Amino acid sequence: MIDNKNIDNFIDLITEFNGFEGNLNSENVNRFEELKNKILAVLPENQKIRFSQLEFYSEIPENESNYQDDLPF
Amino acid sequence: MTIKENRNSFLKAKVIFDDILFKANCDKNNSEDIKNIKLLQAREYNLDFETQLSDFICGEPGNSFPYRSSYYLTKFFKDLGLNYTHNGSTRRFWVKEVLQELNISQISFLIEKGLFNKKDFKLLENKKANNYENSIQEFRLFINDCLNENSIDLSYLLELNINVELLFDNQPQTKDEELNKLIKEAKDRFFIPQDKQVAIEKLWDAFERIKTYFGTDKKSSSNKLISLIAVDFSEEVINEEFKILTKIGNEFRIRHHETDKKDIIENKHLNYLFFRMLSLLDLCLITIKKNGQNDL
Repeated sequence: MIDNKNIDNFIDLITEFNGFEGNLNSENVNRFEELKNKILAVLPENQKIRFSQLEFYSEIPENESNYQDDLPF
Repeated sequence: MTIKENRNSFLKAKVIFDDILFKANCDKNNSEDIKNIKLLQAREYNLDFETQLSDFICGEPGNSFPYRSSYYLTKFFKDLGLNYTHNGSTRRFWVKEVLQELNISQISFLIEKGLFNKKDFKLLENKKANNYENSIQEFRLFINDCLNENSIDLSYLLELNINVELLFDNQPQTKDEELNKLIKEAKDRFFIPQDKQVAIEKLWDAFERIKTYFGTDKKSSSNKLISLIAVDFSEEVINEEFKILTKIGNEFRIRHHETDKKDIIENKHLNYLFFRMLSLLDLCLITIKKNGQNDL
């Protein structure tokens, strides 16, 4: 439960989280996942479920549309 | 590997954070905040809160709210100052997504000024029997259902905890059927989270009842019971336990419900009191069984 005692810690986590918006990339995605886990640990039960259902990004393989094996037309 | 961000998820996460911060910082003496806290509880407890609210906004079949077409859904949000335009997808799913991007203060505003806007009930009259009063009742029911959405405790389903089992397995088999019934009901209700308060009340009722097990004179009957329990132990300790639990029952909102009685809010305190009383009653039942029940 988040109350007056741990709210500062929660706000720090949110601030860090907001810093990833618009800046998420393959280099910092692992740090983002670690942060997500820290946030999950402090969320109330049902908010935890809501938060974990969110997909913040999708991974697209490099040259996805330019495979060597693609047919030449 | 390229990372493609999903902006909507960030928006939804911010709403979760906003709601948590609102709950932590709200003023419990402010009427606006009190309303929003109740609404937030409904949202927290019910994971389908937005889906069900979306059905009301869309005026889906089965409720009394006016049907809103794509055009009127966009108008609904724009009129409230929320810049959302329906994109042609399934109306109720689209509205659900929008609601997930609104914090509890915005949801509250949307319900008050949008969902229950009387003009819409008149303007959007159609084959459906729109009814303002019925809509209010349906909304109240929805909120109450959300608040009672508590699931059953898993430990009950898995039948866990040996110590608890020892207490719970001891079925009361006294000659006093009413006493047996009270204890059994208390045990059954204890595992349903929203019934814990009732479980405690039943247990205290059973305690008052067991005090008269050996006769209608409560004092002499309970003294007899205490003496029997205290054999090879301590009459002083048992007597003190009877007194303290009686005092707790009178001072907290367990046996009496006057405004000066203190509420037990925390689950951990409800659990503590339940098991403390159940242990004493268990001791009483064992003693009664051991000494026969001829005096009833």
